[in-house]
Amino acid sequence: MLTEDPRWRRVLADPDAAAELLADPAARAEFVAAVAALQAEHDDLVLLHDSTLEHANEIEEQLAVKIEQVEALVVELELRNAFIRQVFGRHVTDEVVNTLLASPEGRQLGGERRTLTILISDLRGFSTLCEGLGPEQVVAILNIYLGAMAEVIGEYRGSINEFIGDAILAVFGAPVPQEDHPERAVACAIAMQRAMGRVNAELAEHGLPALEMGIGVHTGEVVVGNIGSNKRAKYGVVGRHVNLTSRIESYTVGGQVLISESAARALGDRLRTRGCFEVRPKGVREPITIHDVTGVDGPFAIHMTEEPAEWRVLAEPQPLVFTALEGKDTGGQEVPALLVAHDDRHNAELQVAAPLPLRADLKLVLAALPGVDAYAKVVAAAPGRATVRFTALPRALQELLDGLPARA
Amino acid sequence: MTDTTTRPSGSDTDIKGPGYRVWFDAPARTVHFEGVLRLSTSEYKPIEDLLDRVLLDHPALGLRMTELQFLNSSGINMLYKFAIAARKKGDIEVKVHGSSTIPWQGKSLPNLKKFLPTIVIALD
Repeated sequence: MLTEDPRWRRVLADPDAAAELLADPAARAEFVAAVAALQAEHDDLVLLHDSTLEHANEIEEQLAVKIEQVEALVVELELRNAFIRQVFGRHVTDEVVNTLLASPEGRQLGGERRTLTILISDLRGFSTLCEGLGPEQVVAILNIYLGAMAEVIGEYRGSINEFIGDAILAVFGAPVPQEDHPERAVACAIAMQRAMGRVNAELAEHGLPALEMGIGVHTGEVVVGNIGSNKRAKYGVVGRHVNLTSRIESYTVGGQVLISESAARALGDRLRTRGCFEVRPKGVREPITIHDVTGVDGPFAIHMTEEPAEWRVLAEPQPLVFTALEGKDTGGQEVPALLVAHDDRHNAELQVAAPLPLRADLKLVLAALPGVDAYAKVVAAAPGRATVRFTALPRALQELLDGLPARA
Repeated sequence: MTDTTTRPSGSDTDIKGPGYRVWFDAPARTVHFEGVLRLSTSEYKPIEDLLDRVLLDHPALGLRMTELQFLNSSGINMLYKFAIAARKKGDIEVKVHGSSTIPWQGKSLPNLKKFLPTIVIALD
């Protein structure tokens, strides 16, 4: 290298010395050769630099194209996910959809056993109520009601498994596992009952009749998973505990939340109730204990809104006949009784000859309204007296009662 | 000069790292480049040494790039420097096998001719 030669280094430091050194012909030839070598090396380096840059530019160009492709894919994917969320998200929360989208296993058929809390809600006397309404009105009622309930269930991270007419089947603890599923479900049930005030106000605005809902909650082991065929599968729950929840729900009157012993145990001392009672549902061997919930304390603290009912004692008691129902079949004896009082929360006081069992379902026909069937459940019983809660109160009967003079 | 710190694994004539392999097939006198090469300049040292050695020992050489999906700037720089070294050594035949389906190869491999005019570039 030229610059490594001490003679040339001296020249570089002191240009005046160059003339002296270049005067020597051998040194001059050496200098020219060295400059030529430097020039060649310089040319190579420039070429190397330019060619490497060209390669870098080419790769950056490809990178830019790839970035555009990825961005387009991201947009497409977001559209797809938004669509899935929109279709699916009416029934389950975003959390659930995201979990399923994130795990490929989520899309496979098959199930697993899991302990969950099941919530079933149903409208009291909805079939009777529908009889006097047009199909558009029925759908309008259901949309207002189901929309409000779905929102509450979503807030408590439950996932709606099914709407069965006016009934809702929701589960807590799947597909996303939740340790506190019993508590969430019971608190959700109370929140749903509280939301009924808003629902009925909205229905009234549209000139639609008010609704009453009962809710059953139960914790038990079920099979969860994608059930069905490859073409049509849904994430669902099956098992006897689902049926048992439905039975528990059937013991409710409007505005009530009944929960099983297993759900009550999970909540422990955070559960507030009016008490408990034993029932013997069909198809269940042992009697089961059911708790009548008024509230939940602790992290999900929520309580029922209790407004004390005011009895309207009728100036003239109304004669009626009732039939005790076994299941949904009517067929018992017609028993005469008197309706002596009622309130604005669908309760009525009956004067009866023989005592009535608690929670018996009755069909009532007032002498003043022959042919109009009302349904009620016995909620309190004393000798000669029974308090019933209407589970289906035809409008004609409601109007008749409201129109009758009350005792001062 | 052997740099053992950056050598990933394998022998002097078979260099393997995450996602790439560079190896010399002695009977075929061909250096195979495979996978994705995105090392830093200093990390290319073992490959540079391999190329220097085979350049010294063989008058004819093949470089097979058909399985090399990606080569970063430090990598192409090393390859161009190898071409300069081969030109300076003189009396050597180098043939490069590339693939036109790998976008960067169609652009960057023909540039080897600027450093080594006698090189043969075959793109399939």
